[in-house]
Amino acid sequence: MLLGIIFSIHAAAQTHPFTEDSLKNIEKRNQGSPWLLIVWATDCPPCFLELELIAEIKRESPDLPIELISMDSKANEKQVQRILDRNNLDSWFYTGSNVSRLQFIIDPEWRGELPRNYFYQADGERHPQSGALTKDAITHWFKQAEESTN
Amino acid sequence: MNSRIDSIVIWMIKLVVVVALTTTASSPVESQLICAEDGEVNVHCGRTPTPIVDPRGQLLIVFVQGEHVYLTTSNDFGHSFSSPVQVNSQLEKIYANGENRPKIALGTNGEIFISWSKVTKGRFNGDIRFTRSLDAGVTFEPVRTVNDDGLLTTHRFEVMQIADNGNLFLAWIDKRDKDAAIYAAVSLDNGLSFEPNFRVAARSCQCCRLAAAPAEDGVALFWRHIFDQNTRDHAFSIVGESDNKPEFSQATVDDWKIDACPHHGPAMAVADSGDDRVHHVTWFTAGAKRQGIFYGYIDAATRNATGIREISTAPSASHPHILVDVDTSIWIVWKEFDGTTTHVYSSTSRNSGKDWEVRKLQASTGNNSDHPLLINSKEGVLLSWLTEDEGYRLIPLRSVK
Repeated sequence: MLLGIIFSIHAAAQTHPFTEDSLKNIEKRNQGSPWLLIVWATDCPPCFLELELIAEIKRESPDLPIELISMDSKANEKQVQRILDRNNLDSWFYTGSNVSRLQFIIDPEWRGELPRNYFYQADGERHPQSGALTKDAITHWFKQAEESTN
Repeated sequence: MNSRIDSIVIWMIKLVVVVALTTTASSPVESQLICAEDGEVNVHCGRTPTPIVDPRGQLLIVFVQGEHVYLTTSNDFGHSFSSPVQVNSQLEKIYANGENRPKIALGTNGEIFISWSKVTKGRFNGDIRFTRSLDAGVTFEPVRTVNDDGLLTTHRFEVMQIADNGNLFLAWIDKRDKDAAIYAAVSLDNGLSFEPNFRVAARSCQCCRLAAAPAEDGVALFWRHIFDQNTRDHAFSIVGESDNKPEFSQATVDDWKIDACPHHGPAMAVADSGDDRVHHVTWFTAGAKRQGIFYGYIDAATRNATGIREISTAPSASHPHILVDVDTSIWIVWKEFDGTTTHVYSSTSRNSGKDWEVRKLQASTGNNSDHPLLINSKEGVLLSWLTEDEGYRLIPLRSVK
């Protein structure tokens, strides 16, 4: 039991390999209720503030469906892991070599600015928003989206 | 034994690839470049190669490999390169990405000036580093730090520019005042010493490259600034040697309100037409007023970008660079990604930016790539582009005509 808790804490901050089909699978898994997708990178100062915010929200509401994708290349893997450890967050991490391809998979219409947020409705429709979010904006959106779903 | 054979095999493969790269010039290279992590120092295997042409027509290229900046030269427009010279003798971590890369400039007496941003402890921290060679690149002086605040904070994204009178300017993004700001320093003695740092403007964007060009009485700077609450448009300023309180103007009004990192700095090139020196600029925006890559020139009176033309509005259009050719044509290159391949396109204006010819595909790659850069050479305008699969290429640009 104790071991289980230790392992689950240890396993909380980790990267999951993001491949060509990952976004489709993540979307499928989350469909049916509102969720938030956040794209970030280690060379983006406002992303750090947003990650700290997400960590805070996750501490208060661990089950809130928020998915993170790192725009970092393989060379930055250790740095990505360090930041996730510090914030006790999970993130998807691209396994391919061409980061332009990752940007295209996420959204061919997106111009690459970070952080980039996608608010997914229960029906799968998504609304992009660039720039760091506030805690109020996130919790307010979840509340409103859940109310309109129910 | 095995590892020895492996390394010999890898060395042979690299030799073949490098030969292929250096003999086929602009033609597509099918074989992939193999760069071992601890392999030989080589411009094809380094990061962020940045070129300049000296008065004799020789290309000088600075690049980063491991924890060193290197200088290499080419006398045949990138077909072959000299054995790289180490610029910093002491190892140090160096910022080396498309936006933030070592710079090279040439002094009036043949000095070679090289600068870069060193990675220091802490998040996004750095120091502006500088050295020079007085023997045509054979040896370099010990590296110096140009920022004079002694603080462990952001000093990054430097640009280096020589003014008409030979004064050497460095400008960079600096967080000594907490918010990001543009700071600068000038050397009045060919890089022997620097005058005290001075602030050009408070509240700049914090991860976009700056653009610099010579100007009457100093150096012109063009950069992504934060206006009002969070509007990330561009500012323009001319800084002089004794100018402790330079003025700057809002040069682009795209109304890009965003609390995000565009990672997308502008570019600038200068043209002389009679007595008037014109600063031509190109930039990226995703503002309310316009989205994509645009061209304009700085109106000398208002210091605003005017004569604005759309270069590309494709969502993937990114990282434009600009050059004024000896025949006064203006060239802009930029990258686009089509889902599998990254392309560099060019557009040309032959009437000072009024009309732009239809874009032309200049080069492509199927993997990661550096920002495209342009230089003038005796061979005409060259595209300088490092791609992970093909290595470093200097590609003569083809005209539409």
